[in-house]
Amino acid sequence: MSTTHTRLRHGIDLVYVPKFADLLARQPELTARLFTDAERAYCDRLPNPVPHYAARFAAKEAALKALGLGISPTGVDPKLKDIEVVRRGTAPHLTLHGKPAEHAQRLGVADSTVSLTHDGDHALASVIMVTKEAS
Amino acid sequence: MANSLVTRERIDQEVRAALATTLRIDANGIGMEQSIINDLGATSIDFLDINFRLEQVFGIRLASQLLLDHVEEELGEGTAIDRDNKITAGAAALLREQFPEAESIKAGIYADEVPAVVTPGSIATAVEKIIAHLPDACPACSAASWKSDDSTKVACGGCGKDAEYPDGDELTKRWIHDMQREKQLFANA
Ligand SMILES: [Zn+2]
Repeated sequence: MSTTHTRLRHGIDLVYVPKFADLLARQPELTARLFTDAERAYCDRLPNPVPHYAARFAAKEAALKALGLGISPTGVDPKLKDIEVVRRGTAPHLTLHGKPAEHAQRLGVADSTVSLTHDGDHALASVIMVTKEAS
Repeated sequence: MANSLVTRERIDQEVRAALATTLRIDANGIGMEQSIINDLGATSIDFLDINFRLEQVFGIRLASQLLLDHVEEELGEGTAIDRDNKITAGAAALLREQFPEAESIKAGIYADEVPAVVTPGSIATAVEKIIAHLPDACPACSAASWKSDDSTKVACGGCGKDAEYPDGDELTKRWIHDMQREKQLFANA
């Protein structure tokens, strides 16, 4: 007989929007290196895309924290683009590709949820993952 | 060939300058052995900025992937980080080669503790390792003389074209395989 243990993993990240805006302005190629086509299509349709990009960047960092991988000290870590925020109706969802997906599988992540918010100069994301392991 | 046109002192100076600009702190107050995350308070956005500034200054491309990710890509999934998010003995040994000062690195520490070992000194070493790969002769015109007006960017003394270096990710991959051949840090890889 086996039981299943459920654990929660949580990560949050806060981004100062003017700093992020400055970075995108000085490194125009950064948007394509950090964000998927779908993320860019979504943000670029909005009248003021930058806070939405900032919130998505926060979500990527929050997901790395939830996965126990911490922040990226390497510049444009390709793992960031492999963590994607997709919209389903009005709610954002997290889709993992590549290494983050492999890593989530290794940890037994069964489900995840992401929440985004921004107000004025700050964008914030919170990511919760549920792991299930048989024991 | 070693790159004698760009000194370590100059690299240290540029790393300090990049950190000071990005983090809005005094360059003279930055110690080369301080943790950029724990002591200087950098976030991942700051690293996007710092690395970009250094890449512009020296005409290089720093590694964009973490050493742990490179190890897993080159030697197999699970070779660097285990199911509990702890680093393996092989990964710890390799990290100690890359960050000799980082005494906190041991097998069994959590993977998210590793980024804190990055210091101004370790970034300067990463820059130094890349520019040490200046080719003997210019690939464009075969001239074997290099010059630098500002002691950061190097150009060909013949045709004036900027020197091109292998990027940091490529060098890291080569280094992992060299270390594995030499020291067999990863038993089952
Ligand atoms: Zn030349």
